[in-house]
Amino acid sequence: MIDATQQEDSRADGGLIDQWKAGDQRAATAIVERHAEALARFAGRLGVTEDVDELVQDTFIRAFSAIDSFRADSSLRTWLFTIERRLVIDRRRAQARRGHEIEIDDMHAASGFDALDAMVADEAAQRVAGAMARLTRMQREVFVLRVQEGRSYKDIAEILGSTEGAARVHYHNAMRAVREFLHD
Amino acid sequence: MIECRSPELQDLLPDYVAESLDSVAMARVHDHLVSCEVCADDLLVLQLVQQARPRVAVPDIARIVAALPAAPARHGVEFTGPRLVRDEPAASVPSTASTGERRRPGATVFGRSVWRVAAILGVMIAGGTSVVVARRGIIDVEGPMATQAVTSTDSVRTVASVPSGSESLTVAMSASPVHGVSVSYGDLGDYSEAELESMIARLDQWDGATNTEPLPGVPILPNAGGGSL
Repeated sequence: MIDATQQEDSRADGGLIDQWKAGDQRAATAIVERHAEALARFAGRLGVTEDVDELVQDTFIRAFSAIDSFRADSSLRTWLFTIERRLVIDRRRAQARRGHEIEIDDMHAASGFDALDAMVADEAAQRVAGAMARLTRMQREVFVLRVQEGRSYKDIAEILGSTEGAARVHYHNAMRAVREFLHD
Repeated sequence: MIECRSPELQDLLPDYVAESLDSVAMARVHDHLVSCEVCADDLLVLQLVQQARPRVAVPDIARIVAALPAAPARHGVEFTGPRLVRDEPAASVPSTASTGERRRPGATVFGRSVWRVAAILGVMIAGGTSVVVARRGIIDVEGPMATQAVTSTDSVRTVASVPSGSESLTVAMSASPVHGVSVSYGDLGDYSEAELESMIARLDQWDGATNTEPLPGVPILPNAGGGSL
């Protein structure tokens, strides 16, 4: 209805997927170019600081291997975010099994977000990063997807395996917390 | 703090900042921001957060593309990769159309039934015989196992009760030996399809336990080459 950009993106992605299915390998390059940066950024927001390129690559490999299961009525970027997030969770669980102390509880407060500080330049950005570091993991993921990646609540619910209502509540709680932190 | 009176418009603020709304929605949100202090404040926060979007190094596109699975084959080009055997259209089995053979309807089912009955009967005969041999010793058996030579003058089957404590054993044995008479359980081709189906139904109900009693419905017929009874 309202989000015209996402509709145009979906049409463009759908056309590229059809081209790739028809045997055009250049369409795969175009798809990767359109989404790789957003996936790398989202990986950073998920707390991934090492092997981001490898994670993004694995996300695309898994997506292209299962492209037939992609529903055309959904956004490709939303689907890619969903795959990437699952890969991150799988990695953390694997690391936890190997004895590393890795936080995998979605509701637990964030701890690895400070690593992104190096990526933000000015003081205002540092303050925003500080505010977001105080959010719970779920609040931060919802907030990032909604504000910085422009995803709808429906998309966010799909990515996080939640509901639109829950995503909306997390967003407003996050918004209130960030606003209060920035006003202090 | 005062709440926004138009939460549906407040929900659109991130899209407004990202300029991803259509013109009508953009205008509605714009008008709302003039009168709503809460949303105007939220807008400043969202703009700050949007600007603070982290910059990341763009991943190596060429390396990612090189690692992707190959695009599906173009139309008309045979896929040369591995296939699942079950996906093959039974190429190794010659079709009746190509060989010119014509099958009688139900022939496959009937053929399978015959082999099934034969296999089960074989197991039962072998198992039953082994029990008899184990308990009573070999009783005048001539020829191969499949054709039991039972010698008898007046009846093929004679019942002998063998008291052994509280146990009573009933076996087929000869009363008085007369050579030259042999019987078998018959040729399966002698049975009608209905009789075979009936036997299969009984066998399906069989609990698998070894039984020395012959099947009730299986007639014992003289072999073609045997003498008269």
